[in-house]
Amino acid sequence: MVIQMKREYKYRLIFGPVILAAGIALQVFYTGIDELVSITLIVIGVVLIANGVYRYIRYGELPERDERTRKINAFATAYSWWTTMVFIAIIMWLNHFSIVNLNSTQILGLILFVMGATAVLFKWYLMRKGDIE
Amino acid sequence: MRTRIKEFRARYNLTQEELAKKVGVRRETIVFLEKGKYNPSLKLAYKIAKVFNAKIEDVFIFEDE
Repeated sequence: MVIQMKREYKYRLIFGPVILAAGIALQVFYTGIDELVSITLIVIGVVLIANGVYRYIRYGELPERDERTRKINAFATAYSWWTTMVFIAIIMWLNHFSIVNLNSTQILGLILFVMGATAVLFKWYLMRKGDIE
Repeated sequence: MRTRIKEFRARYNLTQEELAKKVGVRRETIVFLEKGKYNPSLKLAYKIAKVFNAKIEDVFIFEDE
């Protein structure tokens, strides 16, 4: 029986086990090498396999992205960008009037979080809604 | 916008997944189209109408809001 599968899933399911096996082999046979390398390879291998299987079951031969999801992704990113702009302006004024005292690392971390979280939230909301309008 | 996709699907005995595959979109997109919650591009509307051997205006009914 031949399973019809998209090329990207096939690659994930071929390279996943290869990388996983390489990680396990490094862990077992080459004790001199930093353990972090083999653990990273094992994690990448497992993630590739799990991702490939999940996407194959979820989407099969249907596309993962189409005109609706591309449109939603674009709008979610734009909304997230504007929200982050407003957030940065608020943080700037709060810092200016010494209401909060954050160092640059904390501010960058907050911006990263807000940008990522709002993009995911807007995407989730628009996907549920179906369209932009 | 209202659509008659469901009606045409039944006539051609197609599932949402089969139609999605024929026009190259996700199944959810067909679901939202049938509910009238998504306005397709002209290209997608044309592809869907072509599957049903119909005109775009037979499948998609534009209503003034």
